[in-house]
Amino acid sequence: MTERRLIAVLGYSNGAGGLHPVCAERLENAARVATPADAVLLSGWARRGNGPSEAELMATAWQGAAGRVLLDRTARSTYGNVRGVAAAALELGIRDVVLVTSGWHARRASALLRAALRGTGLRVRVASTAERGTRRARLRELACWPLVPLQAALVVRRI
Amino acid sequence: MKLSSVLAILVAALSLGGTGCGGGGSEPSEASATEEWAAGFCTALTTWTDTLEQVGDELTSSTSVEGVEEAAADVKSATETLVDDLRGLGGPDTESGEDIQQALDDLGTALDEDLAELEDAVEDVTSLTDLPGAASAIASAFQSMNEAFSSMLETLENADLRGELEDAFAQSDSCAEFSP
Repeated sequence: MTERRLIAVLGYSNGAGGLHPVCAERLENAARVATPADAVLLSGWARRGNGPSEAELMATAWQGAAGRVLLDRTARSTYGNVRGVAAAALELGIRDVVLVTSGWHARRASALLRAALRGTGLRVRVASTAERGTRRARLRELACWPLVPLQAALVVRRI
Repeated sequence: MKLSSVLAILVAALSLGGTGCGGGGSEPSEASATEEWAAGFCTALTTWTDTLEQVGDELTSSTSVEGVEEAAADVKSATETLVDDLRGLGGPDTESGEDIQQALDDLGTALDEDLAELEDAVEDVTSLTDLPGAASAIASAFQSMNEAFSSMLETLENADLRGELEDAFAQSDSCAEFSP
C-alpha cells in the first residue's frame, strides 16, 4: 500500500518522563491532519536511557487515523528527526510530507527537511502548533541556528 | 579521501545536536526604550537567520570549492553584521542592562574569533581533496558559534529576573518568531 502523505511528528521531552505537553499538542495537531490514507511517523529518542522514547510515548497516546504508524526511536535532535523523516518518505515513495512541530521550531526544522529533500520532487508542508514552549526551549532553538548551514549541507548527502 | 569521509568527520565533530541540539495596556502607545531594544535585537537575529537559511540552501545545491568559499563568506558577512548590530544596540534600559551589554560584547568577541577560525579553515581549501583536512576546523568553528550563542542567551535569560525583557519581546512584532 502506498500512502498519500507522510505526517511526521517531531517529538519533544525534557527528561521528566511521560508525554510532555508540547509533544502532546503536536500529536493532537497531527491527529487533526491525518487521514486513513496517510502514513504517520512519530520521531524522537528516549532522553532517559532506559525509559520509553518520545516516539513510543506518542504511539501510546496516538488517537488519529492513519494507514500505518511508524516509529523512529533514534532521533536525538532536529537534524536526526529530519534525516529519519526524509529517509522514510523516500522509502515509502510518498510525494507529500506534512511536518508537525511547534511554531517556534518549525522554521529551522522545515529548512533542514527541505534541504534534505532538495531535488527529490517531494513537497513539504508545515502544520505547526501555536504553543509558545518554555523560554529555555525557545532560547535553545535560537542558539541552534549557527549549525543550520552545515547541517543542511550534511543532511542532503546522508539520506 | 571521499566526500562521504569528509561528511563523517563533520558529523563526528559536530555531534549534530549542538549545545542543548533543542501585557501592555489596552491603548496603543509608543514603544518603550526596552521594547525598541527588543525589536532591534530580534530584527538583527531574523536578518542573520534568513542568511543562514539561504547559505544552507546554497550548500545543498552543489559542493565545490567556490561554493564552500562563497558560503563561508556569506556566513562571515552576515555574522559580522549581526555582531555590529548587537553591539550597536548596547544594553537594554533595564536593571540588568549592563550585564546584557557585557554578554553581547562577549558574544561579539567570541564570534569574531570563530569567524577567523572559519576563514582560516576555508582558506586552506584549494580543491575538494583539501576538504578532509579542513572539515574538523570548519565544524569546530560552527560548534563554537553555537556555544557562544547558548552562553549569551543563558545570560539573557538569567538576567531578566523581573521579566522586563520578556514583556518587551512579547510586545514586539519582530520577536513573534522566536521571542525569548
